Amino acid sequence: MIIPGRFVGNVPFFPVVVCFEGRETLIQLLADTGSSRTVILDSDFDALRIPPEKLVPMAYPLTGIGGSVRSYVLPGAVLSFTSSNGAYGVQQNLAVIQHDLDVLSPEESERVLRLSSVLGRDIISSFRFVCDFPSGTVRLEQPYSNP
Amino acid sequence: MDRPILGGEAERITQLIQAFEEDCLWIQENYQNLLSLYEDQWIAVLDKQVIASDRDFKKLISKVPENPRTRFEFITRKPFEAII
Repeated sequence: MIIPGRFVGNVPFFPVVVCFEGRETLIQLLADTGSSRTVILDSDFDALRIPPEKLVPMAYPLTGIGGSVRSYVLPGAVLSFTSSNGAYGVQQNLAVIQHDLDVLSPEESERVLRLSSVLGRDIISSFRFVCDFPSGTVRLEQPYSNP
Repeated sequence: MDRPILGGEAERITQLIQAFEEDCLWIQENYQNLLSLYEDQWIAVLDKQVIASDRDFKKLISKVPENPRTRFEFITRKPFEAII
């Protein structure tokens, strides 16, 4: 099975449908092997239009993203990828990071909102991750499943 | 829980993603033109058309009818370097 991604410039992205309690949105996840978890950031969470009260505070803080942030999960969210076998779904307690935009300058806020949500090792590590810059190929492969 | 998605639902997801990717690609291909019209603004794109724009992202979200395929993008010449 192959999940195709694509480069935007030199950045590897995977398109995904995020579904939570019947609400869906499409976003691009930046493949980030430095991140232990897949995380939805501010602008993508806003695009989901999920009432903030649905967010459950995370039991432990996420480390590594600068600034004043709050960490939450969306319990039982489903991420769906297109694949060579049709589609592929991952259900998990999806991490959501919310920056305190009210305390940031307009320029800082703008930069935070431009940050991409990330596809972390919690999902990438189930696959062979192909990130071939010279050929422009980005994909996740499960070599032992049916093509 | 990871699982393959089959049948009609797989087809629906594939079509959603394909249309979304076409809009993402359209933004890339038309970026210079979009810059001349919407520099330093957020835009909402659906079916290769800009359906709304605003300098404020939250205001833009409130202007746009809910559709999971809407692609939001900040149009700017400012370089963006990020360590996530």
